[in-house]
Amino acid sequence: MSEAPALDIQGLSIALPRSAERGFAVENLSLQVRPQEIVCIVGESGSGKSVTALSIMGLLPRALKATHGAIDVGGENVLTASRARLRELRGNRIAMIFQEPMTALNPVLSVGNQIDEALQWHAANGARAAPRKRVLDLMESVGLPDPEQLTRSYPHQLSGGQRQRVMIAMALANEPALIIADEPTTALDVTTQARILRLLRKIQRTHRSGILFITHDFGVVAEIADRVVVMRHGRVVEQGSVDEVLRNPQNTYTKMLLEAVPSAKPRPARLLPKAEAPILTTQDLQKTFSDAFFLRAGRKVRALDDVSIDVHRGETFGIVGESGSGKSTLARCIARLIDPSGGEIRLDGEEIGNKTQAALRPFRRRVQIVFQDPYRSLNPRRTIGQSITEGPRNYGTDKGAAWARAGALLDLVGIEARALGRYPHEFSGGQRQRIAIARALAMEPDVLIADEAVSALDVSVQAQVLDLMERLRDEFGLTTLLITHDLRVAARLCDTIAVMLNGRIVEHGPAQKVFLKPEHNYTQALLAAAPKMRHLERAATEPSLRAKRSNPETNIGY
Amino acid sequence: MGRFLAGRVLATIPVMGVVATIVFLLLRLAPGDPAAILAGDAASPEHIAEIRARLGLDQPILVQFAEWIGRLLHGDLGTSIISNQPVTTLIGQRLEPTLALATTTILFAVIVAVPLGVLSAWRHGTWIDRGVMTLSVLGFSIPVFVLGYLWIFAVAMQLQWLPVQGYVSFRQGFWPFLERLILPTLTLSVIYIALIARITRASVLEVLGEDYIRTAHAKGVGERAVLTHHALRNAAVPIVSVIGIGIALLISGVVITESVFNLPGLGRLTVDAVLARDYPVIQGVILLFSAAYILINLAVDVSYTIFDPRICY
Amino acid sequence: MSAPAEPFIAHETAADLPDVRRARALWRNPGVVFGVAVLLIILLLAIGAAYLANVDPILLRPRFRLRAPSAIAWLGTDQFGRDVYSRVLFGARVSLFIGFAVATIAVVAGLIIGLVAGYLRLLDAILMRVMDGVMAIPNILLAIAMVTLSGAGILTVIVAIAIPEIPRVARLVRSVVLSVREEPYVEAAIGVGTPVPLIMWRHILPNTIAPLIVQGTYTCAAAILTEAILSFLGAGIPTEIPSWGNIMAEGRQSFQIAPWVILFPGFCVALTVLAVNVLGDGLRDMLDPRIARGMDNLR
Repeated sequence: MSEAPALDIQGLSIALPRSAERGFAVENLSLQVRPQEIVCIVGESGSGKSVTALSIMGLLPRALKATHGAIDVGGENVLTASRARLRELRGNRIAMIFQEPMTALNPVLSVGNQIDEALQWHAANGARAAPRKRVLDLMESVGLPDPEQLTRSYPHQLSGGQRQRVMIAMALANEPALIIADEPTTALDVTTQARILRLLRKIQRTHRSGILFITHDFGVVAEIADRVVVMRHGRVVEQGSVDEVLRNPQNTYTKMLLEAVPSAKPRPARLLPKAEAPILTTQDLQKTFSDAFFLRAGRKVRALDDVSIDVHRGETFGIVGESGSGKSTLARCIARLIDPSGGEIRLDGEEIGNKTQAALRPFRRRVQIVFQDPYRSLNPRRTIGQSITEGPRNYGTDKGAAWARAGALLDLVGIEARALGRYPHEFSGGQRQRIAIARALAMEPDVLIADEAVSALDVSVQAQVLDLMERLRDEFGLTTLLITHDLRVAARLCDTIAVMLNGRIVEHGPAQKVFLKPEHNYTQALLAAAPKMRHLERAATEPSLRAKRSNPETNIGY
Repeated sequence: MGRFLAGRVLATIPVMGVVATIVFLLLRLAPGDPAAILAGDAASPEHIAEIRARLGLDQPILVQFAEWIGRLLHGDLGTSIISNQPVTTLIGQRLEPTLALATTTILFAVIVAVPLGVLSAWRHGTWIDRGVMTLSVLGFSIPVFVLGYLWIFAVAMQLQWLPVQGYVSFRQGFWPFLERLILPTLTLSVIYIALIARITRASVLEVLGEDYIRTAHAKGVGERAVLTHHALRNAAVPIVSVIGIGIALLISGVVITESVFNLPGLGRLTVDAVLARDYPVIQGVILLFSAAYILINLAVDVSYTIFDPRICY
Repeated sequence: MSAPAEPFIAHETAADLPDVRRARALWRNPGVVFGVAVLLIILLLAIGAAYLANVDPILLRPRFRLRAPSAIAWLGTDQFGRDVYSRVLFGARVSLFIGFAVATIAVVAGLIIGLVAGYLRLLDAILMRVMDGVMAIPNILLAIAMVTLSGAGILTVIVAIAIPEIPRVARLVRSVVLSVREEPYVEAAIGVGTPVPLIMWRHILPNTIAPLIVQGTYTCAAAILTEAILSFLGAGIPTEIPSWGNIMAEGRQSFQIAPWVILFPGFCVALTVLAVNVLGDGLRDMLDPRIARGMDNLR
């Protein structure tokens, strides 16, 4: 027997302003969320998933207008509600959790104050003074430690996971019928993400709310969804229960997305050339950041603490860690963009860690780095040809030769050579990242460092760039240092893996070994937390719950 | 918190040092003989020589600097050429009108400008916003003294509502004191209001674009409360900051306003000193005003901790 | 294997740089149009002063003292019988010249100091303290002091007005440098071995142009105002040269009977400064892409 849905969207269309590339941000969208059900909307950037979420709350930016359809929450059409009524519904019947917990909380108000506010604004007139107890209870129910103390804290004093729990507490305050979670775990570490997802599943069991969960990560979908809605370019391309969509996708786009998700299974070990002396080693590398100045002693942060690694020629060495682990600092020390505080770095036997910036010139070309943000790693005012040839020309290559080589490199990375005269803003994120790789290759480096080079890309684009990197590695025998927080990416490409935590390497070994037989408990925690495609594994656990939630659903595929 | 305060106080010392150095060097880098300048245009050669010896102007520069700083720290700002009185005495006599004008101006400006700026940001794009911004640009563009004369022309001469010039101490009666300060305050505060209103508007607008405002809306907080409870406290820091920086503008304006309205304050003192080339007085006034600016901005810095809990050590 | 990458097909003509598009859009901004139009008119009047003035501006005519505006003197005469209209025309030259000269000096000096401070951490602390010190001294007083010591003269006045304006420009440039330095494309340039001067020129400097243009207009406006004030106080342009401030200074004594001597030049100063400020605002709105935010949360 199905009860009234918490959310019922029928034929929603949201128009984009005239200047946009397509007519609609969302076109003819229909979906439902039942009480105690978690429905995931999956899509890449530009799919319209966030716009859908905002429209349910009535928080669309001025430029976007809902032109057709209805959004039904508890019998009321949100699209036709008055402003005053919308205000009453928000935080009360419909609540929302946003992506970036740091910026979503007011930095100058205490956490307790902000939770209390959610209660105050919807308290029935008699119960205006919401008791402090309710705030403390809420905080405890979302797993926040020491609520008494935490109530008086400010957002900047909390960790990312704690801040997101505060947001969840605010959302739960008035027992909403519908909770919308817009990529709530995207900005969090893998281990934190796992915990927040666990919390959301617990909320599903203990509260009556339906949850609309927006994400780009199919691994998360597999972990948490009951039903899935796949969106692309504003349209629903496939919809159904999680088992149906993940095991038996009908639509080609869905299939492509699923295939693009890297699995956490490491590739079989490659045959590498005989072990010779490593091309790159670090020995007891140290980096301490301090903001001391003159007489003022500042705070010290130990970013790198006795880090020692060996990278052999042709090897793909992965450095995996969460934020704050020091992995990016390590990359930048090796690339000599910053100076280490202690220890050695040897490139092909020669010490480069203590060389001055001037003395580093001959070594610069041998270590090249590809950065994380494709939108900021190319100078927007220079053509990509100028950016790619800048390096070789610094070292004496004449203009003609450099440009010819740049054209060949563009071809290699899959971009028309004619595009040399174009500016970065004419390219997409994935294309820019490929240009960045071409720029790095133009120097003919011995070592290529990829610092979270695919983290900012959509899943399908990510897969393409990883393919490219694999191809280049195989063709040119490129030694790669792959820095990532995503174990699945590391599993895809790496021969050797080092796991970092708080500036130290806690585990180090061939990829097969680290993945299948991790020794350190942090590695084990990381592996356990990584969202896996559990649809293949889930069957055994929680059978009674699954039976309760499953409804005879027709699989709506396009 | 104590460490933060101590740090901030310590940070002002180099700045005051720079000010002192600039003032010191000004005299000594100017073309001509410092002693002759200090002695005045009508001084005899013997007088000039006497001044040179008395102030140690023939000694090496570093020694001079040290001695000068020493005198400063003892409160000795030198002697006026014209009146032969210590500069500190002259300043003391003229302090009250300037303080009165400055205080009324700051109070009036803040009370008018901040709400205007907030309103302008809240009703962004409407005629209120455009009106405030247009008036603000106008306020920046009219020279202070022209505005003063316009007021005098309109209010004092044509309408005869208020006296044209002069100052009466409040000890001699509150209303006479106030009525003579109305026009000068209106004149001087215009530019300050323009500045504060603009920054307030920009700051509030920027804050309104932040994510936590969206969260507040998502919780169902009412519009007015979003503005007052969430936005303003976050917007406060830049606003208070510009009030502090605007003091420099204020001081420049005081000099002319007193001149136009004939208030016997520090501004008039300076102007008279300029015409008479009485350098020690000019120097003393500069040091005083700079110190006031630095101290006020120190207070502003410290006030940030009230508004933003992130600033605390 | 994933889906094949979509190939990039270069169009026949390259898309314009965002800078270029923004620059072209400038003409649609009413502030820019108004400001440029007014300034052009004033500039033409100033250049053509010799032809447009009908009386010698420094000619003393005691017979016509303190006459109200009439047929013989369109804007009236001052206490020496000099024709205000002609003096105002010639005064325009001085004011515009000073505004432009001060803005140029302040921008160039501020740019150099800001670049150095932003890029060389060691010099940063010292330079910024010095800038703070200069900013602590009220600019009129500093200018007055300098002019008093060095004697009046156009060059002295220009330098005296420019120096207090430099710190603001320097701080602006420094903050741009500090933020651009963190951009990955600058790190990439370091990584491919580009030497520091080239990095400054190619990657950092272009980001300062737009803010400098905007700040330059504000500096110009401030300079014109300051000159008027200085001359009014008697610490500015020497009295032989007619400047708007000088004209007004001489109108002080007789304001109650001849207000036009102050009010007309005052109006000219206000109009010119207004035009420059409005131009600056318009430029800033068009060249700074951050302005458009903050509108969507108002509901």
